[in-house]
Amino acid sequence: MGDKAALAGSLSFINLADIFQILGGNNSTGIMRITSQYAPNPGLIYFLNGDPINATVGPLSALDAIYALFGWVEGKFEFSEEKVHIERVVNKSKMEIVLDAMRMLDDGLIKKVGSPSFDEVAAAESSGTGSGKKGAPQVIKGPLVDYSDILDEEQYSDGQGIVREGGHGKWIWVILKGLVSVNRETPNGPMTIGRLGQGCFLGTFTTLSSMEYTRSATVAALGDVQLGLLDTELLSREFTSLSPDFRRILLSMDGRQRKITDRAVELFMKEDKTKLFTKDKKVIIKKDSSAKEVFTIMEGEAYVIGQTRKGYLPLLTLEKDEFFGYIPFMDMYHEPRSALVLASNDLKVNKLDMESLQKEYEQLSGTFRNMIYNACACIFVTTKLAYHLHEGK
Amino acid sequence: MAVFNSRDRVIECKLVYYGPGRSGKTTNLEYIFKAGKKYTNSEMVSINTKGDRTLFFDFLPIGLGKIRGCDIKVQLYTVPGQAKYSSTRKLVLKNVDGVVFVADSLQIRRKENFLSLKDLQQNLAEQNMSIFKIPLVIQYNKRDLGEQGIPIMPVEVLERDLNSKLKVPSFEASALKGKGVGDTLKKCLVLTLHHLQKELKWSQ
Repeated sequence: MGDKAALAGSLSFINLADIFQILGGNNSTGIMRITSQYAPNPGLIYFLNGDPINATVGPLSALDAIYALFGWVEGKFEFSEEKVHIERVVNKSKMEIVLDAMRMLDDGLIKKVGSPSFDEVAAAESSGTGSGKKGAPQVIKGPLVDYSDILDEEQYSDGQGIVREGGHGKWIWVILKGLVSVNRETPNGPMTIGRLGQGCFLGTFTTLSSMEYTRSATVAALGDVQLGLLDTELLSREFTSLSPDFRRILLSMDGRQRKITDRAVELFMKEDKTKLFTKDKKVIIKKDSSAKEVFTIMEGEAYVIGQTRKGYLPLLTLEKDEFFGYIPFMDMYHEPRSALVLASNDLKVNKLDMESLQKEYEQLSGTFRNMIYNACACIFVTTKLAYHLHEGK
Repeated sequence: MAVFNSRDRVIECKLVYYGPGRSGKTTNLEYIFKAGKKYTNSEMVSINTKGDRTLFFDFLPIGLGKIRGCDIKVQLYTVPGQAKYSSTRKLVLKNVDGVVFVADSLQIRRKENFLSLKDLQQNLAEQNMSIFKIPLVIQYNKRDLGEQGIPIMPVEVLERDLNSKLKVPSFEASALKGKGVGDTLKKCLVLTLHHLQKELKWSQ
């Protein structure tokens, strides 16, 4: 299949239903190939005179494969015109296939393949269908592992410690197989913050900078675990090549993770070190705000406040060089959708250029993007843990 | 937004039957399909969306005339009203050219009619379309039930509830018996074609 693609693009821009209409209207004969960062095997759909006649994706074929591919919300497609010799096994009309697929999507019968939305996770949890029993720490899974930056594979057995809270190591790993538990030491004993599964990272952006760094939690293997050691030198070079603003954002994400974990520990210990201090503070970002701006702090402080069923919950305090606001490729269950932001009287900010940040994000390596996703997921899950503790669960 | 099929010299336009569940959208379409059998080669696609089937077929109505030498092919759809069928609804309403709103004359369905119309307005707005600008016809269906002693709303009440601001053509109908179905469709087609001609700046 060396021909140049006659039609190619991204599924997030134009979906499969529209592509079917285009190829149908054009009476096209050829093969469409679909790939996604979230699926191990590509999908193939064979078209003859505008009608889909066969398909494969992984172990599925024919109509089953076509319907499964309608669940791919992110990915790239490429259609090349060529003679198609494969057997015709699909006889339904295009329209029927498309409408049936829409119904199946609405009925929840087709698995969505793409970056998981945190809203889906939150909804599943509140309806009791989330993973694990109520109160059990949630398992975070990362996106598909990018093997290009792995230097070595390491094995750990059940209970074996991987990193120790307060340690100075700077290695970064990605979990290839198995589960690990992430714990904080507290005067009341160890507290499990969460469990990480395949695709998640151990180690953060701060290790790639020249800043002082100690491990913020203890990580131990649950059952047999296989880790991939990452090429931190390569990743450090990528980190250094980013703009100062982007680097600041990544570092302040690590800051958020640390702070929200500290908060969760406080709630676990039933200590509430932050007094509710809404007096004399301005609301600068309302909850559910659709504002699409992001700022870094030059002076003063900003406070991110969540809202649980028991009322307002101050989540963390942001200081100089930290960011707040809306970043399209980072959803942490904080502001602006799920939390509000208050400002100290002397707050001074610098507005960031969202477009250039977005462009930088798009140039990042797969591993880096996965790390960002992972960091957001961890902040998200730790925030939910804080919520649960606040609500007294 | 009608699609021009250059291969067949045909302009394809899309008409959608909207309305609360069980108001008679499916009945309308099934009647049209049977009556217009000679105008269509296609089969009727029927999707089992629970509560409100999704139907689709296309046909070439005779006597509609041509636009700039092109035949006009009409694609007819019904769309399920339930909130959960959002993917289906989005796909069907995308680039719709004309709408028939089938209202239920039953007294107990008064609120459903109103909610469904508001819903249509919102779904169109999500596509940057205005319910006030799109070719629209309202059908008050199930009029025959009044003769059987079942409480139905007088047409004046329905008009006040649903058509006082829109002021679009409306028709009484009993879709099960086929009454009013053809008139509703014809009016909607005419409105849609006029709209298309204006949009495309083409005249007969």
